[in-house]
Amino acid sequence: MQTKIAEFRKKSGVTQEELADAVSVTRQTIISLESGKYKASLVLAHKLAQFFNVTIEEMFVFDKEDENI
Amino acid sequence: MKRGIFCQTTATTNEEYRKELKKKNGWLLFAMLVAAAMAVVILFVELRGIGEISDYMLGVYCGACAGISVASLILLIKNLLLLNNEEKLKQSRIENYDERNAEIRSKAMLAAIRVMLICCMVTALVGGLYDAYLIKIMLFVTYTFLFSYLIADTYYRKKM
Repeated sequence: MQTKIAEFRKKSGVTQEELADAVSVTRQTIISLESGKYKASLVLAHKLAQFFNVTIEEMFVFDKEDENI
Repeated sequence: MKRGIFCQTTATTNEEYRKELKKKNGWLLFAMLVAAAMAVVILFVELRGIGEISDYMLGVYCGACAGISVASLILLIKNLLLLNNEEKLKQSRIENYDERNAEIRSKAMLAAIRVMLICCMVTALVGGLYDAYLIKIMLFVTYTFLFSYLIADTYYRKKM
């Protein structure tokens, strides 16, 4: 799974600290999400999508392996 | 970052977290007083010669009680300082609420449990050759863990 968090964040001019604060996580979690080391829960994904006013699908790009249910 | 096993919180606001910390402080105060009282009782029993406690066990009991008292006091002071500082309170809440930190805690706990179980089994099998008590104690610990796991598993299967 790939995320476009960094892309949306930079486009909105928001710092990692500000984003972390808005969705009630630590800055380290944002760093891990952006680098793909950590996969967000549904709740966090929803919060992030809401923050940037986009859908979850727009923010998180699922690989074929992820979609192979 | 807080690395405690029991630091997890579900509080989403500072007010909820404040209430949680106050409740935790009550338990810490209780633990501190009970441990201090136990240390006093043990020393009293030993000094008055009411019961017979070996020097080694006296040291263990007093050390454990003093340790719990001091640790509780430190945590209590730390929590009181947090309660008086809104910014630090928020920082602490986010650190303890953070889902990545929660996952790290779960994974660390799982790894520690695996190591503990392996150590228990090795101690039981190897140590049992030298002292039969060891195999009984270690197997008791292992079976207690497995039994507790089964009960918890059944409980959460019904709950989730």
